[in-house]
Amino acid sequence: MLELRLPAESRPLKGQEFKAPGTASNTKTFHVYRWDPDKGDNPRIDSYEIDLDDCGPMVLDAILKIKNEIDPSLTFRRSCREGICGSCAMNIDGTNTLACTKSINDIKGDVKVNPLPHLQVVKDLVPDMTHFYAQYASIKPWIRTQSVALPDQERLQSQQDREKLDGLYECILCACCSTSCPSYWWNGDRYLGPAILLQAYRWLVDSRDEDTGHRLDELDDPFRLYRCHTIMNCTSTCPKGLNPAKAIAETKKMLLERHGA
Amino acid sequence: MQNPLARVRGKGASGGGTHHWRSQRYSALVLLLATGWVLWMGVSLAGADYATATAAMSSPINAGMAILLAGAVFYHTHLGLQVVIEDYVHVPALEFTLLVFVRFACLTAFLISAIASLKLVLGA
Repeated sequence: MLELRLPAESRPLKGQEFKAPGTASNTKTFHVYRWDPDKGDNPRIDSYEIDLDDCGPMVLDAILKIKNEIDPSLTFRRSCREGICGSCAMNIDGTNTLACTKSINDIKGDVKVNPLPHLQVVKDLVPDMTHFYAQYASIKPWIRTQSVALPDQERLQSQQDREKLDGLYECILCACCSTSCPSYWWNGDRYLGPAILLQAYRWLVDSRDEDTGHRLDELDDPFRLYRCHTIMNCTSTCPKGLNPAKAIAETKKMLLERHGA
Repeated sequence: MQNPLARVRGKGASGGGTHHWRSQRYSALVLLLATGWVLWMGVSLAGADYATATAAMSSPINAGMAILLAGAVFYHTHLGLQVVIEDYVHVPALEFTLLVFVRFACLTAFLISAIASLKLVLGA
């Protein structure tokens, strides 16, 4: 059945508090989710007071400062620090976003930092993405053709057809959208979720792909596609400003056109 | 230890999603139009006695609208409750039982409504 509370052993408890140096005057407190699988304890929320005058402008800067200067055991993913790799996706101030592009100044009051919701936690802010990546693999996200490519020429595409991929190809698969979706929370085992459905649509509208019918067959399912109830959390939270809800709606339209009235 | 991709691909796509989704929209559209008819009937029969009301409802057009409305109401209810149960009930035996119950409860409610309307038309 639907569970509205976390199991007792998963409920976060109050953790340690780390104060900023006494000389700091411009401080902000970061409440960070901590869980170590090797200890078997409940998760805890540690609080770190950060001197903003001695810290970069983004939430990732503060998290790096915590790891480098206060608590080296803090575990999280990060790589590009410019919003293109998707590694540092986490729940900040109640919204899924990228720590590297989220400005500390945009957050009023204390900053709450949690891992992406409703995924298994590997450690601290690192969620298990195995199922998400398997879902991505399941849509076969590469060009599928029947015709044989000419040996001396690429598969050409008009500028108009290329423009259909705008707003789709920019997705970095950070999973902010999928893990913000209540349908994905309750039925993520079978529902593909907004990120994967946006990627599926990216191949449905690619003029060079020749397997549209089979791609639609694979989506025509009450769970894989139609668990989307147009809640729109995906579009609200996307740190790249994309619109997965529209891609899903367009996919439903394609299926309806094929199905007939 | 199940292979993650095998878990995702599961038993494959059932192929019934579009039909269900489309039926939800069509039945909602019928409900919207039929609600206008209900309001109009309510206004036109306001203050009327029982004999006038039953006479109005025994015209084929009004009886047809009443049956259409009942069909849309209980079909839409069935489709909507089915989605709610699938969303939130994750105990397989309970989910299956509830889905079957809702299906037949809605069908029974429709049949009772339709027979009541037909009874008026046929004067039985």
